[in-house]
Amino acid sequence: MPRAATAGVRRKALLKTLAWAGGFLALADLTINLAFPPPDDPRTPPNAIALYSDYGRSIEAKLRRDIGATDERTSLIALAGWVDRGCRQAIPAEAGRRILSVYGMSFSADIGEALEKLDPRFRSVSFGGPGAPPNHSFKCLETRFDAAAAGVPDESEVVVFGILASAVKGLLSMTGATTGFERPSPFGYPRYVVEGGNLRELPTPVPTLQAWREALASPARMDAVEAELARHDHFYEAALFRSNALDASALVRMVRRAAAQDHHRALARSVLGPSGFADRPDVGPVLQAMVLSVADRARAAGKRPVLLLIHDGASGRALETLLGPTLDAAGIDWVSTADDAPTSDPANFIGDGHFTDEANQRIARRLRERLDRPPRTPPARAPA
Amino acid sequence: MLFNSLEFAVFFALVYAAYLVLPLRGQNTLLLLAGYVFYGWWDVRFLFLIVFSTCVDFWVGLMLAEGRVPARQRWTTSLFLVAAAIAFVGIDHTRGLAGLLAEPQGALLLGEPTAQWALIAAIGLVLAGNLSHGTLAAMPAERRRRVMIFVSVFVNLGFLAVFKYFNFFIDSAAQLIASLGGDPALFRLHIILPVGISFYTFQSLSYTLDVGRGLIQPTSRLRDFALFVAYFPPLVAGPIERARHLLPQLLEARRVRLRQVASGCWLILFGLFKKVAVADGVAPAVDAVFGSSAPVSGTDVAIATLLFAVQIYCDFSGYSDIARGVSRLMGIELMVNFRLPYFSKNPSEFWRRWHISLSSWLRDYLYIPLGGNRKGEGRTYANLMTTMVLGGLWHGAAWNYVLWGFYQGLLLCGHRLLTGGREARAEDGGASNPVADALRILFFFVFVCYGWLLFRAVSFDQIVAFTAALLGFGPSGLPSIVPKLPLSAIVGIALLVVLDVMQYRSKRPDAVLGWPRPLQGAVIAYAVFALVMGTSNAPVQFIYFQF
Repeated sequence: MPRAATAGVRRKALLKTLAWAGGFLALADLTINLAFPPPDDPRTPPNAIALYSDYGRSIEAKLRRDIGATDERTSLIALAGWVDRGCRQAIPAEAGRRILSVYGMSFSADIGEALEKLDPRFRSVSFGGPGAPPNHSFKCLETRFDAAAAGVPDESEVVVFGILASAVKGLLSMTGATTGFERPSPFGYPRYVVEGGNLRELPTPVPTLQAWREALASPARMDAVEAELARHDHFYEAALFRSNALDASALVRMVRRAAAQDHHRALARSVLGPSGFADRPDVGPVLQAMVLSVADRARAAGKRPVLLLIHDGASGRALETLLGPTLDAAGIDWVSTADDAPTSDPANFIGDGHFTDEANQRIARRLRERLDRPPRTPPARAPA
Repeated sequence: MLFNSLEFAVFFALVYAAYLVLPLRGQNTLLLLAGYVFYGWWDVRFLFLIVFSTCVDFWVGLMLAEGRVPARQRWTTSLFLVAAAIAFVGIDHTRGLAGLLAEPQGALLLGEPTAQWALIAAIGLVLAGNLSHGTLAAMPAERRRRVMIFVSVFVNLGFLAVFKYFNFFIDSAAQLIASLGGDPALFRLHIILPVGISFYTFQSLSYTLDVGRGLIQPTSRLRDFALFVAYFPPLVAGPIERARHLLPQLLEARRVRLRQVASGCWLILFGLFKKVAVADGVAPAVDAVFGSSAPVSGTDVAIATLLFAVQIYCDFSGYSDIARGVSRLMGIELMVNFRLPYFSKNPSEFWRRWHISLSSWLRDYLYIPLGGNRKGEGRTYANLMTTMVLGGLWHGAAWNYVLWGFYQGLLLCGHRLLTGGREARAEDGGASNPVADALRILFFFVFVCYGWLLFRAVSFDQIVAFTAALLGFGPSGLPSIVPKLPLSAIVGIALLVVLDVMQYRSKRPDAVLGWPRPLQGAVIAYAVFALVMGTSNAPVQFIYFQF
């Protein structure tokens, strides 16, 4: 056979193989979409494959499904963490018990619960959101103190302010919708910057669930929300946020998921690296000013502040290194998890990255030891 | 620049587009520049080491074959070396191109110690080479050959000794230095290990050794030799190419054929799939166990070691596949570096299937020159041990690599002792019992895996603790700390096992290409799908970059 003819046959054969490959890919994509669709009811948990194939859907598409017109038609994850809803509740006194108001996320709530189990003298009331960053906790704390000043009872004796090392990067965000790409929690919170030694608040464009509902119903409002997020939320990326036709393909969704993870990893690395927290003016100084402000406000309200420095992932002692000197200089009590549940021992963590029950108990014991000692700096007035 | 990065995709697209339209000479210049950009992406300063090694070995090659270096080549080499010292080390590249253009004088680092050392080295070598040229040319041929081989070995291994092993030996001798009243910290060099230094030094060294043995003719153009050393696909993690294989391909006109493009793309796809979907997918599980500061159960050690066997194979052979695929797209064939190594039935076979370019290098330039198996049984065992221990040390400056090499040497000696060397190539042909073969493969795989435990361990204490745990002497009742594998790794390993078994049974490395088209299409689709899934895995640097 002449060379040109052989080349032609080869080209044809190659094209056939590629066509088969393309066909199989399209079939796989279609099969996944048809066989494993996400459930219509936002409160019905998807099966594992549906969840996996949905990770890469755009944030907007997920929010449209998760946030219904009413709370009853809204997923539980979308209802969690809202400052306006969860940070105003009253804390009545309980005879014979020391009440702790615990700010943070699931890690700090777990430690509070472990303390309750360990010693019934203590009662823990948690305020937080899924993976909540310190700026969320700070806004929640401010909201509570404002509510208390307006007459909402708060009989807690201790303010435990939990900071999770891996959530510190959230200082650069304004909503859990952008930080939690795969399963966005839409609760909003402000960003803070340090100006003249003081914290200045940059308000979130979505302070309430209603704000999302309005944005999802109005393209103009959504554009305004996105514009604000694009200005101040480092996690925001239009290609990851906006819903479009690409959401229909399972393969493209996987590529988008990878892009989101890449973006988040790069941001995380820019905040916390192998040698600790990076020297960023929008992270370290903000966090230091924040913990001082927490202590000042708690003491002014007659409560004892305790900082809970929670090390997870590969953070080692990064929070201790960043905040320890500041806290010591200001005479603020703090407890670190680094000795009782070192991150270098994976046996301290369960599959999803949370502490094991045993680790929580050890940390709770350490917290109890600290609480049983007198405060380094007493509160401004005795609690009521 | 990682093969599995967007940067490389853009880089290669640009290089390839230009490559396809350029004539041979232009192609080679392009490939040389591309090699320097590719390597300089990590750290521009290390390009000076490549140029230094290039100039020395180019000069040595000519001296070995012709007894002299023509004046033109001497000038070219001298200018190239000094220019490289200034361009790569004497300029602050961290300022970026805009910074360099805006304030060229501020970007000069000639006052910095590193730049001064580089200039001194370059000028010193230029002076030494030119001043000694007449004396060397007048020497008797055999003496000159020995001197020039010594120079090449000294410079290339000297680089390795300084950049890779110096601090290791200082750390190892820290107690001795301290007992003599010295401070070990004062002796430590504050340098970072240039990526892939072991690969390009061995590649360059093979050229001078082959010229010295009369196996190849030296190249008379510096540019061609520089391209041989800095050809980018195998530059940082192999295969360690031989001049007699690669150089002629670089010098001849090349035509890129459709068949090469198709099989090159398949190699790239399969290499990326192995790296991204499988190796990076299992890496967190391996790291969780080997990175743990607490006691680990025997089951976890076994699982992590098994997964590391998968990781290192997919990581390293994945790199080799991508390198071979990229090179094949340009019409240049690289050595096969892996031939289903985990289907080996004994250590001798394993080393003919694993990292073939290194094992054959060690065989040709170390084991055989030491006497190989020609000087009696005792000497053969000593040669095997020496070769494998040095092969272990080649991998990294740490005692666990030495121990791994020693272990591999023991396996080879043990196998030789049991078989008398007669079974050495039995696997390559002849009838065999599939069940017995499978059992032998599984039996030997256990030994391979234990070797990987030595290789991956972070300390001697960990080796002891993990070995005890494997043998059932570790603490009991420990919870498992191995995280769940991502879906990409699970589906990836399944495809890998099927393809490797089919390949082993058919004895064809490209068995897939003989399958019916729909089946080929299905395999490609499956690999693409797993690869796309794997893009979510946290990228891990290729393991062999550190060597």
